[in-house]
Amino acid sequence: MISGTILGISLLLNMILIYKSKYKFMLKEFAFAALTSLVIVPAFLWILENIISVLVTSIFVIIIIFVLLKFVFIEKKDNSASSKKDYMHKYGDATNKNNESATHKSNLVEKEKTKPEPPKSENCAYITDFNKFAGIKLYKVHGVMHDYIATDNGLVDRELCSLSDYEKGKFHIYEEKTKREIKSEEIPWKK
Amino acid sequence: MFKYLKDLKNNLIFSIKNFKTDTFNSLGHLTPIIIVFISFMTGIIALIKFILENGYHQQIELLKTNGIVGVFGKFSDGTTNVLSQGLMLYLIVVLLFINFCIIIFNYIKNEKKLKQFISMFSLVCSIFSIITILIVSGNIFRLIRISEENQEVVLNIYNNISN
Repeated sequence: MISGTILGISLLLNMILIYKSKYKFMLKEFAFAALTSLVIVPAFLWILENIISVLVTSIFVIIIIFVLLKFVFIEKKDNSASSKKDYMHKYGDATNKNNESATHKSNLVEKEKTKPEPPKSENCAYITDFNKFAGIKLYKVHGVMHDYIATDNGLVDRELCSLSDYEKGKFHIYEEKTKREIKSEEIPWKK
Repeated sequence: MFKYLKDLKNNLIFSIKNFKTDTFNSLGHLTPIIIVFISFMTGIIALIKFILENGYHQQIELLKTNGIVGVFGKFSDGTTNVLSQGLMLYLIVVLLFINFCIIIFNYIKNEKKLKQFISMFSLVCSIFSIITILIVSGNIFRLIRISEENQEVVLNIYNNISN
């Protein structure tokens, strides 16, 4: 242990002294020789002798990495699709409510790929199939505490935002497909 | 890399030409080249030995019988132990040490007295510590045994030839 330490220190001291002198190039040649004879040539020989195993193993590793990457990629896409689904569910998309299936999920993923994601904000709502058959309708409702805008999907009414916020411009409602903002005049009062 | 090899070639020619006039300097250039040459030659011989021992043939047979799974992750040391352990490794390490000593002697020859003393002192220290390590680990006896075995091999070959 002690002799090993002494050897290391003395060799290091000599190397530093030589490195700072004009014999630096000799030290470089020495390092090159040591690296070649002790590391590069044995490693190269090992690779040459195991070339078949090395190739097969590297192909396996590449395939595994590829599969893992693909899995992670699909997982991410699925997450984004499901978050979109939650978002739609929040604003009462009842037409799609009963049709939750894997195919629909994959369709959503494809849609995600083709169009850019709408800007998400807490003060925005995106309405799918606005005023269409089996779509969502919007109404202004006189509430007990305050007036509000409600969504109606044919089954359930749900409060979307307060009317005063909407008219002051604090809350925006957009049509999901066209990204057109739905104005206050387009929303009738509930009878 | 190519520039480095070109410099190496120029140094080799220069050191062979000036070997008589500037022996230590020339040896400083020549020893690394000799070490690299020896390791390359040993590598080539080891590869030939591996081919002659049907190393590749065995791997191909494995591939044929068990498919890709047969060779997956099955790395063999083959003949790399010629370079990574044994006499050739000792030879290379000894040559590297000789090369290092030559560099130090070159340095000592042309430097001031204080630096000469420090360098000389650390060289002596390193030599003593190497001897101590070899004795303590018992490798010195192994080295002697290897050299005796080699002597026997050489003697056997000589006897066979003479008979």
